[in-house]
Amino acid sequence: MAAEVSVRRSVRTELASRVASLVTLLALVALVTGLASLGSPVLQNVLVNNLINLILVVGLYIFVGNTGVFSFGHIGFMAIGAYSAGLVRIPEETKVSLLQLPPWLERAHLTSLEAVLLGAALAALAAAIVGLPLMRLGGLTAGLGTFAILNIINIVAANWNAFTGGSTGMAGVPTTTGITAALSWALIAIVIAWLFQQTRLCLRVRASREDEPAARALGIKVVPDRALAFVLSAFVCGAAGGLYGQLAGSFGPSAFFLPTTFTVVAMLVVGGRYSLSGAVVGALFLASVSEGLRRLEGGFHIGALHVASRPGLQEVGLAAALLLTLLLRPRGLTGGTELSFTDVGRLRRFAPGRGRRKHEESPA
Amino acid sequence: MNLHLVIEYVIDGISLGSLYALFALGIGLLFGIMRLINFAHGELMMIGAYGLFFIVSPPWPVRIAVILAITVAAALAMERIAFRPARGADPDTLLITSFAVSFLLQNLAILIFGALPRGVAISPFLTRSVHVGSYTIPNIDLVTVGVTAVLLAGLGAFLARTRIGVQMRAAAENFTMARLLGVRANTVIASAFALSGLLAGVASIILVQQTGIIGPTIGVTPVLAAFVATILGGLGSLTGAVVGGYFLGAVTVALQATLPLAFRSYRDAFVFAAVLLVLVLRPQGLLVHRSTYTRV
Amino acid sequence: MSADESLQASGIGVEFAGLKALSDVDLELEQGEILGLIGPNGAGKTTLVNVLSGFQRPTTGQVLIGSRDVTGWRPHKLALRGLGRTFQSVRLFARMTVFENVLAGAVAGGLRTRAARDLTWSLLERMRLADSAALAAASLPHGEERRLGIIRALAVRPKFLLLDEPAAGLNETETKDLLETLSTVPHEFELGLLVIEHDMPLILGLCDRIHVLDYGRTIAEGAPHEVRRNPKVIEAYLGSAATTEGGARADG
Repeated sequence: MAAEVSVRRSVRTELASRVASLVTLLALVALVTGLASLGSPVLQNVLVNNLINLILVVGLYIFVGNTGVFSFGHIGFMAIGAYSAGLVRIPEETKVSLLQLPPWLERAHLTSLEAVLLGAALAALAAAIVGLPLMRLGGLTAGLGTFAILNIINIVAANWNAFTGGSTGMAGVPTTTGITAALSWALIAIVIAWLFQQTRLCLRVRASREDEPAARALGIKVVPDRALAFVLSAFVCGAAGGLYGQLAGSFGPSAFFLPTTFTVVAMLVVGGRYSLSGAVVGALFLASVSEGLRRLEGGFHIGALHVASRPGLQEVGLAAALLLTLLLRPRGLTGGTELSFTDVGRLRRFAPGRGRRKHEESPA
Repeated sequence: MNLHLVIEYVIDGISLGSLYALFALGIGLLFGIMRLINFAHGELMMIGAYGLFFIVSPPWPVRIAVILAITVAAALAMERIAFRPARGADPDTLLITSFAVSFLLQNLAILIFGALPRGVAISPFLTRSVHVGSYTIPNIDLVTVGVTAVLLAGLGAFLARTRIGVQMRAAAENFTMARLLGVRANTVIASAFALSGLLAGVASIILVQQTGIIGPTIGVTPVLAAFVATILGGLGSLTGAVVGGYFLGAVTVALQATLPLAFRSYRDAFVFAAVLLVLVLRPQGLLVHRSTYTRV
Repeated sequence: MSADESLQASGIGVEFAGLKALSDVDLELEQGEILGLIGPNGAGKTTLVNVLSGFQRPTTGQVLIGSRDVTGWRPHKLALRGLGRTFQSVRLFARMTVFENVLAGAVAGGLRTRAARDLTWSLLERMRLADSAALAAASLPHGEERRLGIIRALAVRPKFLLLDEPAAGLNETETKDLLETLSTVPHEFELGLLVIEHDMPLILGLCDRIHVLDYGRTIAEGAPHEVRRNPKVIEAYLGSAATTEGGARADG
């Protein structure tokens, strides 16, 4: 009896430790933000951009980490968020001269917060429409399907001149996203992801990730559950898009295509795609690496040797970092565990050990 | 409906379908054997395209041979450096790895050659057309269809008759068993990569002759078409990849012909959306190749 | 509480590429009873369970739950209708904890969080896995893995539970424990239990009825003591390559 009481207690302390892990992540992000906000305006800009990246990574994690289905399409939802926010934030006169919108849309104007929420909502709506069919495809195929979605959104954005400004894109969005907005949304995104992980839906989704046939045999409806996770993650990415639109002020379809997708994917995988801590750590880590590389891009000295400026170094460096991670530590920096200030000095194993999972024979 | 026009569209469709089939085969081959979906296949084509750009003086047969040698070598290098260390990882990790390789190569190309696309001289022969009765068939279409037919026949014979080909099919069926029976993993995988490099090289030559443009990102759309075609045909089936390619070509041309002018530039978006719709009805693909129930 | 139903399979045939895995098999399982399904290796036992649980579409035949035709229904639909199963290869949710594995079953069965957690605890205690609750499922020793698979399926509160070789790889003590645990399950959980097994003492000691397959066909069916002496059953086991300890005992 005493044994079972102590085990019950240990599972209750498991909840406490999950809360501790959430608090750790929130504190970490707040701390890094606090430090960076003391830097130069350039650094502050980098900070806000990377907080938005962090939101994207957390959004992607909500889907990828829990369902085990990889998505290359989430930046498409960011695009929807950005363009929607743009449409309701650009001043009317600018809208009239740049785009050809129906009168009600020309006149539409919302606050910056409302714009972000609108972007998130529309992204979620898009995900709801394509989500169910996509999830029916299963695993690997669905991942390829998301790549097609990214491309479809890119084509539409580049050609729908009247609404999106075509390949030139939108301009004139008031640049209201500052450190406060970005940090708040980053913290909100982390909390959303954490709350999601406490739900029964998430438990079912993770079960299907672990073993789909076994989950089905229990009565879990894999497709609708995954679609819901997809919609929630799209909401978060859409919010990030809305924030981005109001940071950059002007943007085109190329801002929402391969380079951004790669950045976000790299951050998630390098950090560890099996845990929320992985998403956050990956974002912060690669943001730093990227920033370091950016400074090197301007040209640097090794002793007496001067290495000339090489734009494009950032991307190559990022790709190299991702490849190294995949080859040497495929489970990422966090290896599937959640960080917590209660385990200082010792990483508690959540997963039964490192090493790659052997791929299975079953058809995709 | 004008029959004349329809026939010309059909020819277009077969030609485009052939090209898509070539793209899809490159992907399908590697997936069949090692469960690897190679994003970087597009970059093999990009390498072939740059080869075409820089190697201009020799006569065509030599040029082609050199470019194919380059793409095959690039594929083998890719296997040795990036994928062999990752062997045995789950399909998702392999997919992300190939995505990373793809991005790395694209950006290396940008670093070295610059991001701007460049024009390539198209062979004059290919810009001309042949007149059969009242029909005008562009030479490039004839070449595409012809080359694809030869390649498909050759590939089929290779897989059926040669020792390595049979080993590859065995490995695609059941890798572990094939190894137990003495098939050497390294040989089979390297051969598969070499073959996909060959396919990429041929596809890149045709693609460049069709578009006249090269650039660091020209591999992106073909690889997307390859993915869509392979999914259509059913992942894991080579015949499916080919069928998927032709089906995709047919849908593309059909939409090109029927879409109102205002929507023409969205053609590809419609194509992919149409394909996704097909997949809603048949998630396993057009050719149901294995039992649709999971083995438990 | 709904009235007791029975699971009925009639005329089940499964054919792949010319090979007949099952031919004309009839089987019935009532709530509250334990039915053993035995036969030499390759007899079609797992295939039959796959048909009953929706993982294999039968080429011919019908499956009924109560009066409802569920032939060809997919696994999750059958699970919602009250049919559960375990797997020969267990198929645990490896990276989730022991607790979460069972909780997933409870949640899948429709319980809300509080009730699901309570059920999970009671099942864990019953199977003496409560001490391992916080461990990752993949770290369990073999015997405990199998017990976990069983209670995960029980957490869904099915009306029929199909166990695919629950004693595989267990030593004699563990098998005895399993026998004791399983024997009270049908009554306590008001379900019909079907057990595929090779271990003869387990089957003979546990089951109310036994169904014997050989080469995809039913060769015997009835109470354990009858089946045990059935000459066709003895021949099937002696004649086959399987040299299970139970097989040697069946004719003794």
